[in-house]
Amino acid sequence: MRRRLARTLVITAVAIGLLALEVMPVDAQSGRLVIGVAAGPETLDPHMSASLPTWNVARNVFESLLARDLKTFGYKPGLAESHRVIDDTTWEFKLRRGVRFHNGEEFNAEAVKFSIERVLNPEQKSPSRGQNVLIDRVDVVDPYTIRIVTKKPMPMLLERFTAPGYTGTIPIVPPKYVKEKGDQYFAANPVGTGPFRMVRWDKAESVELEANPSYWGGAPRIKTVVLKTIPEPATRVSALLTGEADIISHVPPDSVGGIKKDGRARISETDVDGIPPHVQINAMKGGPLADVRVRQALGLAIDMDLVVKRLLRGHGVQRPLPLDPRAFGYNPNLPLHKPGLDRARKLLADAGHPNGQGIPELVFIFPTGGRYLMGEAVAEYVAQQFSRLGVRVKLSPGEYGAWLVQMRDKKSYDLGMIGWGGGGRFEVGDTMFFQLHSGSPFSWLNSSEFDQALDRARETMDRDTRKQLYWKAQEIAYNLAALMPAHQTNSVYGVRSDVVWEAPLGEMILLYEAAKKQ
Amino acid sequence: MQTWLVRRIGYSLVTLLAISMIVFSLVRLTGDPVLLFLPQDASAAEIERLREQLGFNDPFVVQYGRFLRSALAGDFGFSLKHQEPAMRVVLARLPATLELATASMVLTLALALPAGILSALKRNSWLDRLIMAGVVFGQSMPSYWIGIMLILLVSVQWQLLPPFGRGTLVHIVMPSVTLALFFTARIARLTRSGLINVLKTDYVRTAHAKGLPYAIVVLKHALRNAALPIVTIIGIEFGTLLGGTVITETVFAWPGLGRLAVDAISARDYPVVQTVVLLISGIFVSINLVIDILYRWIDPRVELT
Repeated sequence: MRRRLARTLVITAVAIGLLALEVMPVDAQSGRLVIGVAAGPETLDPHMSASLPTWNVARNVFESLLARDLKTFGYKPGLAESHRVIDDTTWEFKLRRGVRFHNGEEFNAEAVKFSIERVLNPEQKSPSRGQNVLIDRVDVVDPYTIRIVTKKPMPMLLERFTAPGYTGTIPIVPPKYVKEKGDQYFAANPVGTGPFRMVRWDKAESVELEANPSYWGGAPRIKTVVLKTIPEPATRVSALLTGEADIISHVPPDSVGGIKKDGRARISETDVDGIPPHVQINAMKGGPLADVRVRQALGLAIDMDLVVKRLLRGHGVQRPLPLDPRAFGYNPNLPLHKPGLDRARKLLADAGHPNGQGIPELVFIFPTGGRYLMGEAVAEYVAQQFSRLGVRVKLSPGEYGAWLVQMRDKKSYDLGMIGWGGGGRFEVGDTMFFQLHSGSPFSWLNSSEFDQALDRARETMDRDTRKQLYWKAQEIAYNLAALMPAHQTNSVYGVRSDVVWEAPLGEMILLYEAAKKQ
Repeated sequence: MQTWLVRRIGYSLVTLLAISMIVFSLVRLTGDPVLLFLPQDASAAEIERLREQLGFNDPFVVQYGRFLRSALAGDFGFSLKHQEPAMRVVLARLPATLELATASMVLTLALALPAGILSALKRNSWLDRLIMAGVVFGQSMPSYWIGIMLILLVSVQWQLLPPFGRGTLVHIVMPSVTLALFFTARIARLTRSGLINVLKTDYVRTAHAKGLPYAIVVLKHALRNAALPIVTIIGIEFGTLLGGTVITETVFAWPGLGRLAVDAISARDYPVVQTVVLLISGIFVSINLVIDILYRWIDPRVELT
């Protein structure tokens, strides 16, 4: 046994010795980027996933009819060169010619029809179906013209066909390929029209993409991209510093200083389409919280500026409502909340609850596990501030799966933390619906005034009228004080100094513009 | 031997059946796989429809019966998240786990056995105390901390080894060291105490008195007699290494079963959770069976009843 032991030790020692001679493989070849991401995809079929890792890949491999203009956040032509509205329920798209999928299959109207029908098919069980149920059918007018007919006016249809997207948007997939190979094969070997195509997928380890040389918009500057799964933040940061990763996502605020100090890497941060975790107050349950003055008082106890500066270390931005200012329909006239404990106390007293008397202990549910940046800390801060008004709070942290179920149970909780964003959506209609419309499973507000304003907005095809209606709905929401003063968290990335790349939108890793400095 | 073996295999199958019932019910205790599969904003109608389609509205017993019937035919369910059969998802991650488990076990034994033997031979000396303290120290440091410290030191500072991932021999060094530091303690201590007891016995003194080199006495005779509990623990620890290394896997981005199981649990991906648990249980049960058979080889006096 001792002899065997000795032999193993010698071999190990030699191995380590040999490798100490080898310098850490920093990819000096211009042409290969390694991205360290926090989670790997379980499937690469963009119609069958509601998770970010899948979309990290899908956003580089697939496209849709329109593309997001990253400067104006409006629409640019994508796979459709132009579109027009024929009537309230009919949209016509003229498709781009000469585009091929990565496997050579031709892109045309059939592909668009197939993709839409695939998502709408109940048997397919696509998580994107729910957002598109208003689409009635797709008519192929000619190989490069399609018409989408909706059951009712669907002003936000264009959002569904804008890449880079998220669950609810419809990337275009190759019909022949999918039908021939089947769903399971397609889920592991995706083929799209985008600037990158898939090379290989080592499940749970990495996805390798390479540039599509015949991409219709011009080949990307980087030849190979590997998205490696590195779940532990400290390891991810180490990977950045050693050069094993060129870009990393989800840098924890504590590590930002270390990366900045290190000369080999820098931070790239964006607040565009970040996630705005906010606290909802249950105005549906009855009791003291149904009184708008009580809600306003609670809101006045929160110093959102402090939260952003101290808890988020500046990696966030205060907002009047949890909406992105670049989204269409955002009302810029609403002021940021100014905190004031004295005013809060007075409001509470006026409402009949001096020093919090008569207000039962509020149960506050929020998700753990880092879903919202510093979410637990923000929850504790909120509870602490409320206690200064004399209002007691019971913190009820929940594991994500359990929390999700609880948030839909409107009668059981008083306060809940939730956020809607990071999906590349730049129109406020859907987000407002989920947050505050009485028909939304997550809304804890029941205001017919708000419902009506928003309903009308979501059915109005004319953009200017719609915008006015959105503004009105936001004003109503703001005054109803059903959501705590909000903030938006930034998406923080680490980038090596020799890499040309900036975070374009929150939670999005778009690689078309990326390059390595020579 | 024959009847014993048949009976043991029978017990193993009953164990696996019981495990399947337990994991089936536990994983359904909270959360909702449909909710977690659909986007956060799914409507109640969508959710209900999908639940119905996937059979989650059926009574528990019906769901379990369906699962059992398919499992016996080799079909362990279809993973909603992965969009492929659960068994395939799990088997794809098995090699990585086996690799890490084996490497860690080898390293553990390479550290623990010499440590235990040395301590036993030099019992109560300063060396003995040093070794035992070191071993307990290794067990007390959380693997999360050890792993990250190793990465910071060895990868970032000294640039010696890659910080994460699986690939070549180099990649397995730090993760297996992290795990070995934890598992060494028990085996070392067991080796030490077992050996101390055996070294006191008459037959050992006789062998030594006969003139046999002490090394042979210890390694060939004494150790073999002390081996039974050590071998048992090795089996149990190997089982733990198969499914319980999620922290090390997370820190080193090792694509193993531990991480798969935890991710599947978070997503309430029932088929994957069930399959992982049953697979690991199956391997564990088999290991224990093998060890029981090994007993006979180590000590022919053992009666397998």
